[in-house]
Amino acid sequence: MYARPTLPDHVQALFPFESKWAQVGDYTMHYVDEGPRDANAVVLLHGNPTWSFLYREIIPHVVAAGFRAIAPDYVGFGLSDKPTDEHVYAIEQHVGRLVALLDHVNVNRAVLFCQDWGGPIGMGAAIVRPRLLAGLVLANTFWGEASKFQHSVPFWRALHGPVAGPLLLGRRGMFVNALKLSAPADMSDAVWDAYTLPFAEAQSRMGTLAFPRAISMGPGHPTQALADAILAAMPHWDVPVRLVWGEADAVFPATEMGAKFVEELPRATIEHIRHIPGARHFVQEYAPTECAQAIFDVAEEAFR
Amino acid sequence: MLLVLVEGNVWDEFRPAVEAIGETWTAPSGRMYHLALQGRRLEVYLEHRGLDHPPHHDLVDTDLLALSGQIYDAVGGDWSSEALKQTATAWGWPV
Repeated sequence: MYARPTLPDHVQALFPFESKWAQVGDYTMHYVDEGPRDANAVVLLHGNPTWSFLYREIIPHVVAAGFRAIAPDYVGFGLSDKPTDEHVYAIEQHVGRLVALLDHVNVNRAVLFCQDWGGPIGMGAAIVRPRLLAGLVLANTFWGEASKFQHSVPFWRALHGPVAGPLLLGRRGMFVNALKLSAPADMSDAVWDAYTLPFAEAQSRMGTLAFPRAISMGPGHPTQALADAILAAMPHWDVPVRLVWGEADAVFPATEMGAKFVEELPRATIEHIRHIPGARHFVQEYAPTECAQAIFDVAEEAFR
Repeated sequence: MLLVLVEGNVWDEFRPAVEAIGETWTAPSGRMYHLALQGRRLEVYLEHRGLDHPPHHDLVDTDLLALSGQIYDAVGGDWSSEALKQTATAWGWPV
């Protein structure tokens, strides 16, 4: 187990929330829980290789609007424990831990904001707890199956294959460093520190390696059953939906993943996709106000 | 010996390629490595005498990239050392 990092003052200044902790199975999870305990809940789910810090400029909007904002760090990310065994990071285990955390904070109904792996994990939780899902905001995310980009060996699969994976993503920290390829070019040093500090050592980066390996490449892959379950469930989710999409995302393009969500979710339409020009994968860093507005639009219908 | 890499999940289709390398491997640099494969877990050790300074991690990484490339080439198909180099470069490590 890799030791939990402490946030330096210049990072903490950007993240002015009370850190909360929950023992979930064998691991301690860090989370943010802001706003009135009895308010309608919004659950903000990050991806790889980020953490609840990704929502630092969205949480204040959500709380100011009267909602309760809950943003967990998955095991392996942010300030949560970082075990070094890959099997701990199977997606169904992430889903199980999210459900346990939501039970811990007594949230049984919420609007879910899902970006990157937040999609399969959040929607997986909605399958485990069918009453949980009040509404969905989807942002540069997917349901667990590889995109066309991810099926290519050069540039994606070679990154995390056996032996090369622990080299490139572990020793070299390339997935963490690649945040710079997917976030605004003018990201400050302090923000960069916030994203890289939790993965300062090679042994802290197993979660960042396990996630790309967990993307289903087809039948028989360990994540395919969850992806199939999500695809089967989506047509039955009669909940409000909005999509916020960075247009410059090569991994999850709106034309491929966004279009699939619109096709499958009964209350999603093309008009519900808010395109963010020039924004890449981590759309929250580019357009926090637009992300918050999408949450409000969904919440207005969900909690009517 | 210095443990430099742990792969906890050698995929089935990669196993013959790893086994074919055997228990010792000499990098193009001349440095020698020992491979210990048990089940799906592979540990790679750099042969290193305790009193010597270990080589800079960039040098070890370059060796490990060569090892990975050799394995990828042996797996074949879309997997290749060239794809690996392209990937490393695209993601910020010009090799």
